[in-house]
Amino acid sequence: MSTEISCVLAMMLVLAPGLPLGYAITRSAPLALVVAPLVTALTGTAAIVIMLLLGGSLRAWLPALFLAQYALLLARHTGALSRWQHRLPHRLRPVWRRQRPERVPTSSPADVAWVTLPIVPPFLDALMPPAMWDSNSIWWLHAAYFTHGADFARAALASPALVFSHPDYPPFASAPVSVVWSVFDGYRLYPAQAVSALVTFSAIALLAYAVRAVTSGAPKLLSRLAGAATGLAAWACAPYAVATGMSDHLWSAAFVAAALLLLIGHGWLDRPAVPVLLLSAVALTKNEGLVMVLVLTAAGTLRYRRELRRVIWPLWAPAAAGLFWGVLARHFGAVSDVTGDPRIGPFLAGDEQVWSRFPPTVAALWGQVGTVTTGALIVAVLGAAVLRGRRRGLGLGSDAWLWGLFALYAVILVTNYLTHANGIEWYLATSADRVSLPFALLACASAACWAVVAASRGRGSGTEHTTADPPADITEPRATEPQATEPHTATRRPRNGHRPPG
Amino acid sequence: MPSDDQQRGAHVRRLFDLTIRVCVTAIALATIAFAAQGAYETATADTALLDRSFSPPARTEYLRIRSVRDGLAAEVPSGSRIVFGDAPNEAWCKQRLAEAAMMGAIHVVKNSDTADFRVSCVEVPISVAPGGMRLVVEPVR
Repeated sequence: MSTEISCVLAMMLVLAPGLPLGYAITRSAPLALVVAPLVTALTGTAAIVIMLLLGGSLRAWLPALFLAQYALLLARHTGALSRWQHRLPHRLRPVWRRQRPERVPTSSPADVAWVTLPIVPPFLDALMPPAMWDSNSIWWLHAAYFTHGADFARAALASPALVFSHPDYPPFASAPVSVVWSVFDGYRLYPAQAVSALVTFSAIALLAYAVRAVTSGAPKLLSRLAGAATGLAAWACAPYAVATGMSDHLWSAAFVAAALLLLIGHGWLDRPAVPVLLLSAVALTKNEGLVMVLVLTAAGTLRYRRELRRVIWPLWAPAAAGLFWGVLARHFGAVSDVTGDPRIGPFLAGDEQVWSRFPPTVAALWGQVGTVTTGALIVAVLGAAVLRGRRRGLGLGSDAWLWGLFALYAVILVTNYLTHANGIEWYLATSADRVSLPFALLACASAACWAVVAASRGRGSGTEHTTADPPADITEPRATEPQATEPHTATRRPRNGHRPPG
Repeated sequence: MPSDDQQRGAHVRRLFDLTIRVCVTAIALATIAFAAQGAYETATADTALLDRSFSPPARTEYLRIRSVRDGLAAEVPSGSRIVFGDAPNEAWCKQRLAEAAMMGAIHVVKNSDTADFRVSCVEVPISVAPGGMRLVVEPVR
């Protein structure tokens, strides 16, 4: 089989199985195509976890999980589940009953084309020879040992010879490659790179979609442009790593997309499946992703503190899944040279050797994202000072959430660089560009939202926003805002009377 | 009827609002354009890549890492060049490869030859290039 055909077949193999659930959670065929790779990756991750827990082979668990998924969807579609669910107490009823059975907003074919087509050309990097060090030594190596069955995978997790490979890393990025290699023999690397790129493509497209969705109160063209531009900003740091099998862009894009939907958008608790999918991707891809999911979970819990019961599933379930993987991996003996031997004690004691790493760390991170951060900060300060009322009128939550995440990620990242045992020059040279990406994406998402706010003359034709809960405070425009510029603000009221925080 | 002062005040306020909106839009656009520059450069480079990628040598899977029980082989075509982008020095590259080989993680061979890794490492030219630490194995045309 030629390389080109095997790549296409591999991508179909990741796309097709995720389509039914993708459609069920979006009710939009175009958007289902975008989320399907993430659905397949998540199902593959679940299959790997079950295999490690119960034994057996991935070739058995994968089809079993997909078939169970389809059976549940079919039962739900035919109403068979409803009769069974009514016997349960309300609290125990399956979470999908809370998902509104309507199409998610801004998911028309044109909208999806706007958030996907612009990012296709730079994704042609996936045609490069699959030779990236981390892709091979971490993600595809893990994918390979998962396909050998439970015993082999457990041995590999505990193997001291594989410590360099970070065996404690969660399996989300490796899972879709495992899916392909479970079907096609030979561990071919071109299809692996194509599949990894497809999953990252899905995450970046959903980041662009998230910007489009949260700014849907603005004129369509502005909102779509903002989404497309934010998607392209994913190449701001380490562009060589986007489509070549590495996972930094996957988790970073999914993280910022989830943050936008949950903290800036409104109404996503009524259709939590997409944010849950994104958060699960983040928590189950890399350890730093899990840390940031915990931060986002705390922020989301704070934002929705008056509706805690509704928050628990969409926010805490992915965090719990990520923590569960951490426990499971350590149970099977997985260790990592990154998480091992952190010098927290000397760090807290103000040890000079540890703190001498601070200046080069800040300089390296600033070198990566200083310009973007400065520009976005100026925009955010100007916007917050003058355009807040206009922003509320468009139904956008506070920008402070994004900058709060930015600040906390900075603290966590710098602390990690300070407390790590590796030489700081080497450590920064090998990772600073890739781990800076969340800064760039958060800053660009913030700037894109403010640009939409500033460039909107008023509520445009983006009527799909009304399907989500509008913010209650849009009925209370600030006296400092000129009323003539936002006539829509006085007429819109929350439909359900509840006041979304933020 | 608003007085002249009130009208002037409203006019100044509208002008100020418009100025801020233009500034915010312009700076935001410039910021995102700066960030998206990488996408443009990557897409441009991809155009050239499209030509190269469908030529026979590039189709070879240059680096192959298998599981431990499979022998974990990294197969490098004969005459290949290994480029470590942004690595500190050549000695570091060799050390990194040697460590990986000693752990049984990677074994570099020339074609199907089963030569010792260190011998291969000496035989395969290694160079340091900018652009992030990564192993790139390129065929020599």
